Amino acid sequence: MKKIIFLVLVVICAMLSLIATIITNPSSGTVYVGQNIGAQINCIDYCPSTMFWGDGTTTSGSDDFFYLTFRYHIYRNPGTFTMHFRRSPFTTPSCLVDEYKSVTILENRSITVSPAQPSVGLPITFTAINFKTPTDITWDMGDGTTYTHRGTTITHTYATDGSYRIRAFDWNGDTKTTPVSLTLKVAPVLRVITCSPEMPRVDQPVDIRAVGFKSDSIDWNFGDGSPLQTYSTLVSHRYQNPGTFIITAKEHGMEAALESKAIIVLPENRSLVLSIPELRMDEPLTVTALNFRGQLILWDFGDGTVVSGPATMTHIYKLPGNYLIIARDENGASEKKIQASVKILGINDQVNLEIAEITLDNGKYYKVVPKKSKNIRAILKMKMRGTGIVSGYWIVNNQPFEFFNETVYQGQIKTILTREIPGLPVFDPGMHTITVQLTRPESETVVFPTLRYFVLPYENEITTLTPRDGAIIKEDEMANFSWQNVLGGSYYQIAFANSLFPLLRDDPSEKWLDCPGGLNFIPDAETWSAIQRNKWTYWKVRGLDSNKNVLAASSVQEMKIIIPGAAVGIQKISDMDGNSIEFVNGITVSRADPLLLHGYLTYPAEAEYLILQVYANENKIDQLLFRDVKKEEKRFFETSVPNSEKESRILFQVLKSSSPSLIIGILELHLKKD
Amino acid sequence: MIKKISFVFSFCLFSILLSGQKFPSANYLPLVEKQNNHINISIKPLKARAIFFLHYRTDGMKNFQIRKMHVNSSGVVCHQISTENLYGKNMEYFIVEKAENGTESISLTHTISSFTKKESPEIYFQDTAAPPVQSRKWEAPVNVNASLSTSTKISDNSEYPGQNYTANGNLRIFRNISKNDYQFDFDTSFAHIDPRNQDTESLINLSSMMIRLKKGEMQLEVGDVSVNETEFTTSYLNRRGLRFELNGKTLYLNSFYTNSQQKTGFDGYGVPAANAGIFGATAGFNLKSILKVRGMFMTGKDTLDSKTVYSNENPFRAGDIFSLWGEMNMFKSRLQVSGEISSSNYGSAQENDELQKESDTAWKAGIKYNYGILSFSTDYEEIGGLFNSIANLFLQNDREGLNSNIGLNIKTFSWNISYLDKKNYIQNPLQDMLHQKRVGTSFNWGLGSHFRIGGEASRDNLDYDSSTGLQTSSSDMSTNNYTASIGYMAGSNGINLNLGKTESINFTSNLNAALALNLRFGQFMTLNPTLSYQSNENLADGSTSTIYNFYLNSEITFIPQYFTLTLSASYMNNESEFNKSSNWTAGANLNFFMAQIFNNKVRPSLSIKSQFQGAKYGNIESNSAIFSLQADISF
Repeated sequence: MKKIIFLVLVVICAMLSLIATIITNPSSGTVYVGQNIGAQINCIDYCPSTMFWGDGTTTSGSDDFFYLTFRYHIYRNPGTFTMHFRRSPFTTPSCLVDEYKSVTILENRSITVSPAQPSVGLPITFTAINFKTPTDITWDMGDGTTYTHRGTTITHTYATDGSYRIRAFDWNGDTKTTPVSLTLKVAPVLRVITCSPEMPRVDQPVDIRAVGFKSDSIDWNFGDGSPLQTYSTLVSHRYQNPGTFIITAKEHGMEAALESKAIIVLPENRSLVLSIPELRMDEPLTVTALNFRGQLILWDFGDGTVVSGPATMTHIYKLPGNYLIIARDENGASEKKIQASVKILGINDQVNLEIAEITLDNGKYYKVVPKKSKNIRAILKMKMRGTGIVSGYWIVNNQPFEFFNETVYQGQIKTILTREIPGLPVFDPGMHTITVQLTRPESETVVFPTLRYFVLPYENEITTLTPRDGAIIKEDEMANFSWQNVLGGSYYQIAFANSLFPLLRDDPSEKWLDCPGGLNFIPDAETWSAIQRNKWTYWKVRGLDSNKNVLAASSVQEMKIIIPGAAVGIQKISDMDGNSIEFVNGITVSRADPLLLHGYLTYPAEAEYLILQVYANENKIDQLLFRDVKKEEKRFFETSVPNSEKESRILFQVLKSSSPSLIIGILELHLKKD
Repeated sequence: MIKKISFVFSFCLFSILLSGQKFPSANYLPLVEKQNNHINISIKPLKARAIFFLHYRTDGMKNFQIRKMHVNSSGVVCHQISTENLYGKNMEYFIVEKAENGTESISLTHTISSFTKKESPEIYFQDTAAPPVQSRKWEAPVNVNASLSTSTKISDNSEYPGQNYTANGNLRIFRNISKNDYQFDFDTSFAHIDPRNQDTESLINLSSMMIRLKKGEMQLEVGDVSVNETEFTTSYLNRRGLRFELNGKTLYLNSFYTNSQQKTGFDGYGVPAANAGIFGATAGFNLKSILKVRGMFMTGKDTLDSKTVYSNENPFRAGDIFSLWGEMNMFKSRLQVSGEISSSNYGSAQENDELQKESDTAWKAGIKYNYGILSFSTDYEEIGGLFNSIANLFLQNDREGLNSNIGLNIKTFSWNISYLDKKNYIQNPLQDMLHQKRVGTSFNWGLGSHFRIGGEASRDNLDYDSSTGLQTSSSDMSTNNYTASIGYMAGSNGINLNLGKTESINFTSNLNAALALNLRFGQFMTLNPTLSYQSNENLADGSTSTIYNFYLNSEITFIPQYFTLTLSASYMNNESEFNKSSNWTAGANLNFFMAQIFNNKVRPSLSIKSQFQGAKYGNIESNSAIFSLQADISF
């Protein structure tokens, strides 16, 4: 019995030693599909042999090939496989002819699906995980659709509901291998709107899909104010503002309920960062685009350089000036311009606007003026850096009104006014607007405020009373300037000028005198004497409010102050033969008829014209003209007067003829008939 | 019978003809010789011992002058009339022959035309009728002026039609009392604006305000006050606030507390906010009219929160300033010497918390001389880089240099030569120092009462100061500027033509021209067209851009003071190598004014308005038309 037990033990030990001759690496633990597993033997006969890996593949050769050296193999399918090492028949084998080893290959590949609970018509994304040939997978979608040579991610839409078994064949799509499979339950049709990504940023493209709709033509409303459009079931849209928007969709031309979905658009987070905001020419500037989504960015550096590049760029400017750097994401596919300004220091003719103010001529942004008023102008005041040209135009009632093109100099405060003649439009009553747009410097994007002026439905002109327009006034008869009250007038001012221009153009150098009398002005001696003599003088009155703003003005009036004192003298009275006749104290007694009077006149100033009129008993008997009379110059004349009456009164009148005429000298003679 | 009638008719006819001259006619044919300033009239007498008298009269005269004619050595009777003092251009004369027996015969009347080429002035006398005397009317405790304008659109096919109606109005309440040396003013205006820019405008705006109390040399103002001291301190500071002034013969005081920015909406009655107000006080004295000395302290803060200002500077500003200035007038004010020295402690920042003040100084000295036709002025200033005034946004600091002018004024002709030599950015850490030199000349000449011509030429040179060593002189920039203008004005008519060229050498050449007309055809039509042209050439690459603009504003009066038609139109064309655009507008408004119907007590008006506009940018065109109805009323 002991012998039997010993023999059995020997046999068992011998058999055990035979089985254990294949050694694996790893010797224990888990081995997954696609993972290398090594095998070696520890007995050698130097005979031909074959390793049967158990999955249908073999490796043949001398058994010393496997002797104490791991030969590796990859299992393509999960399962338990028995390695079988067979030596060819040998006359005197020292090793076993057949050796065995059992290995278990585990599965670590899988398929994920999104959404987890899909429905008919909804695109479903399948993702293969841990596949060994991830770029070449054969997908069997279970509904008869097979995709070959595909990657790890695939999107598929099921047309009908049901349960589908999805199989993915690894190993370059080898359908003979065991596929990784998934059973998916596809729910019946459901009308939904899907967005990808779910929470986009401002300007980021969002794929919006109408799923389960009965038509391929969908009326889309993206909820951001963009116009209603009809597109296909899949549209791409960019939201330009952050916030929550309601997307609605409906089958085009069909009676159906609106399907809606809320989408949250996150604020813009893209920006440009400059290494330095101001630098000199030829110094490198580094610009970094933060949070841009695309790999490439379309850069416009504002100096004519437009280039596609990465998020960080270095640029060198060759000319001074203000430049606007514009970056467009997705290599320009994004319409949104992300901007930054850089100032390149140096001399050029581009001026930089530091401060500007636009007002009306009352210093405010609003003014009320009567119809056809000339007292309204707009003023643009600018403080600039540099020397160069500033161009732009005034815009009145949304119409380009007047262009300007001015040279501004370093350190100069530039003031530009709307033109005086013709001025701002004041024919139409009601509200009018005015603003200004700069076209140069080009890099300045200045938005000026809009000013307003209100035109009343009536004209408000001051009517002057005295002196009348075109009056000739003797200098010793100081005029009383008077006018009628004007609507709204609190105070009045008067101005005198030697020519029309200062008054018509409201020359700022014109001196306006306050009129304490309200509706009249009597000049003081200094003012009166300052007005030029014997020449036309122009005057104008204007009405003001309490803030000294001009409400109304008179038309320009003309007047001439003349110096009286023309003297007429009689040198001789004679008969027609030239015989002198005595006269005493302006009286002469003679029988002769007619008489010939020889006289002269003088004037204490210069005069273009003087006219001497001679009357005999109210009848004008002679009229003489003296041109270009010099100061105190004696100008001689001769006239015949009748002496037919018993008594005749001869009157000499000197006229300063300046349209109208004025008597500036008189002489009387009395003739008596002897 | 016919013979008898013919005889009677012939007798009557001769009688009538002869009745014009009471004397028998003398059959003389005078010889007339025109000479310089003389006319010689001569006849050959038929009777040897007769005496001849020349009777003549000039234009406008009924009576004849009489001169005795003389017989010369050849027996010709003649008389020479001096025409130098004769009025008019034409003369009538006849000759009377007086025979020895006392009979007189008279020649036919002859005419001499155009005896002179010189003009004679018309003679008429001014109307001496007394003007209507204004009767003093009852005055209300306060005066009220109001106006309202409202419109509604009839049709609008523009892309962004906006609000369908407008409603704008104004209300002014004022009262002015002047008595002896007292003066009281109350004047306030409200404006209602709809539609409006909601960011910058209120529905109701206190558009202006003034309460002034004045007695003799003192005045107190509350409202829109104006403070104008010097360039370094307050230069035409027009703000809402309070101001007290004593402007005596020897003593001067001025104190103010204003908002730092212009108030535009209904922003209160003028009490400044703590972080946006300026307080200042000036004291000084006058020594007759010879010497004027002023000292000033000012402090304030600003947020640059303004509806009329654009700025890329720091919004939060704070500063104090001390300033002392004086002015001395000598030689009957022909020579004026002035100077100012100021010290500021000023800072600005993007955030209020970051504000840090720094001190700096500025000074200025100058003289002005003005006598007769000659004027001369020169000044030198030095303004520190950190010097600034809280009350003068436009102060240019960090500069020093000279500015000089010589002027000549002869009647309506003025000529000016200017020279400027200044350094800029002396202390600026970022900007290299710039040296600026400019010489220029200009003239203005009023030709008669109606014409005016003007011209200007200047050359400006700007370069980096070589002492900094940062830049060579080759980077100078020179700017030449030439302008010319001619204007004509007569009554309500005016024409202005302006031409100008500016050339920044190596950079830009700019040409511009503008023609503006203001034409009035009686009371029935006013026409204001304007044409302007600009051409800009980039000298670096030779590219050019041009702009043409036409603007027309016109009124046609159908019935004066009742019916008018206003027309407006504009066209702008902008062309460059990169783009081409044009836009146009046209409008026609038919207005019915009813003020005369209501005897000017109230002034209503109705308007039918139309506006058409179009634009073309490249190949994209857009057009629109707007029709609206507007009603206005005012009293």
